[in-house]
Amino acid sequence: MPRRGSPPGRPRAEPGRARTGAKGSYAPRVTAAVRALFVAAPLLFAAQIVAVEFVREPYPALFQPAFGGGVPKGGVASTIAPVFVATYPDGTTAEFDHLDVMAQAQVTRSFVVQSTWGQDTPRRTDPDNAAWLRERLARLGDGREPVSATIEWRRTAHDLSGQRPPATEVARSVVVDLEEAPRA
Amino acid sequence: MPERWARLDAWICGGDTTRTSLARYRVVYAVVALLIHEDLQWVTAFPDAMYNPPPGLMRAFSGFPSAGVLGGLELARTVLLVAVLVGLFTRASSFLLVAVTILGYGFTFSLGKVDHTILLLVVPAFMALAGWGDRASVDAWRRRGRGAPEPAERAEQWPLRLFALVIGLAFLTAAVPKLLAGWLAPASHAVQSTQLQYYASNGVTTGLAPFFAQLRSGLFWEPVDWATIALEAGMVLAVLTWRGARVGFAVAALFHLGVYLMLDIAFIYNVVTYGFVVQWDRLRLPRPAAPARPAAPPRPPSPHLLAAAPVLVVLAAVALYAAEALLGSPRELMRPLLVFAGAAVGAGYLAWLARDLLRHRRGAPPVADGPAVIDLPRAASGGPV
Repeated sequence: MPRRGSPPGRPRAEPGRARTGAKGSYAPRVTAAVRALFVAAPLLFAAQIVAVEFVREPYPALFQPAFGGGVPKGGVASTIAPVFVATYPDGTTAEFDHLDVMAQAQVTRSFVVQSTWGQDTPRRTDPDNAAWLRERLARLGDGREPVSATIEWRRTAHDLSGQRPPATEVARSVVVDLEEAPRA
Repeated sequence: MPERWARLDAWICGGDTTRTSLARYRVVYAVVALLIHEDLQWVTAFPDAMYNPPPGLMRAFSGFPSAGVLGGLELARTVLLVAVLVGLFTRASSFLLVAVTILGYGFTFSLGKVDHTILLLVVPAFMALAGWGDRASVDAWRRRGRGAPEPAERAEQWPLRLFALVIGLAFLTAAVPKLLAGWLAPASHAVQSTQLQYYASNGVTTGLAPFFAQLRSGLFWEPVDWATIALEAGMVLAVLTWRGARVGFAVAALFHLGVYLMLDIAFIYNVVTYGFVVQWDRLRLPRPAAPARPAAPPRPPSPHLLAAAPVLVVLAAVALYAAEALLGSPRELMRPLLVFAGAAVGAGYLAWLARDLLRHRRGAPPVADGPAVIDLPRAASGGPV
């Protein structure tokens, strides 16, 4: 039944709104808990910003992509990508793109390489990771098992004006001993 | 109610979204989520030694679960999505769906990279509170069968307002690092640099990526930096009103199309998320031709069918899960479709808004926010809508 005094056609009761005044106008009825949620949302945002600044991006959390680190300097943009250089027992080497090595990862693959073999992570010396890498490189290298792998982070400088060709250098590298890694 | 809260409360509860609109969005959401949800089991290709969880929930685990456990999470997700689709135990199903998907994706984000799918994952929690299960649902049939009162057509507005605010704040998390990194500097060209990183290092060579990689004009790239900041920082202000939110989301949908063409990043999660502000109840759906004599009112499903609904939901979910395992996921096909569809809806809304503003300037009265009725059958037949 429509409320007395309400506009024609107004459907039944309206949760969250209470009738006020003689003309039947409606004012919202909001609980303190709901108001608290609206206060908490900006506080949560601030806490997230602090967390990501001092620790790392938490999860679950309400983030959108930042892409914050990509500002060129002096008209030159730097791109960086890891390359796996496998060394075989006879001393020969072969290069593998990280996109191929980490092909099974359905997240950005360079992040997985950085997470596992970054310079400041304890995971880079973990024997299980070395064993996994040896098997993976062997699979990509027609069964040849490497004895070590060097992960080279190659930085390429792109002149944004296009006047100079891109120049690539090894920014840093990590050597992983694959011989001592355990076998299944 | 103290007077000082009155304005805040009026804002919190402002809006005219209906339960019918949310129910239709529920169906769209569930169908799309069933089509685009991601495989979780791929993480088992990596050793536990690579497990590097972000701070938070995933630190409760020491490594990746077995393929069986991840498969169980995938199946649970499918069951819950089908339950949400048909509106069975909608509120519980929605909250469980949020929990299962956050946990499942958490394992895939424990290799050093958190993808930003979170807005899509939390949609069901907000919408369940707003009443997306109260129309066109098994729950509604059960309620009528019990003779329980019908909830008002106007949905609970505060969860929708809160979700809009959350989206605005989430966008701000993208803007702040860019501002701190100097994206507004006149020669920053940060988007150009990001595009080069994706093109040269991350293997993104599809779409228009090669074209943009060759584009060297600062007159193009710097305004793109500023526009990105304007969108991401301005969203939190835009969502303070419903019209602003719709404009913001429409622009964002077009922005996602640009990102897709430039970086091959398909932000399908956000595009689907924005759908809650679409007034789905203004779509006139196709109906069967009117019978010669007046039709009897629709009969509710039999009590036996309603009682069997949980079993039917589980069976349907298992069938869907098996079909996807056999035939593969349509996800890759859906990526461009959703990005382009979102951009088309956004462009259509902005065009409608521009036309309405022009008419208003000429003296015509303003109309409600969005086309009054979109008659799908008539549109399909080429007639005026």
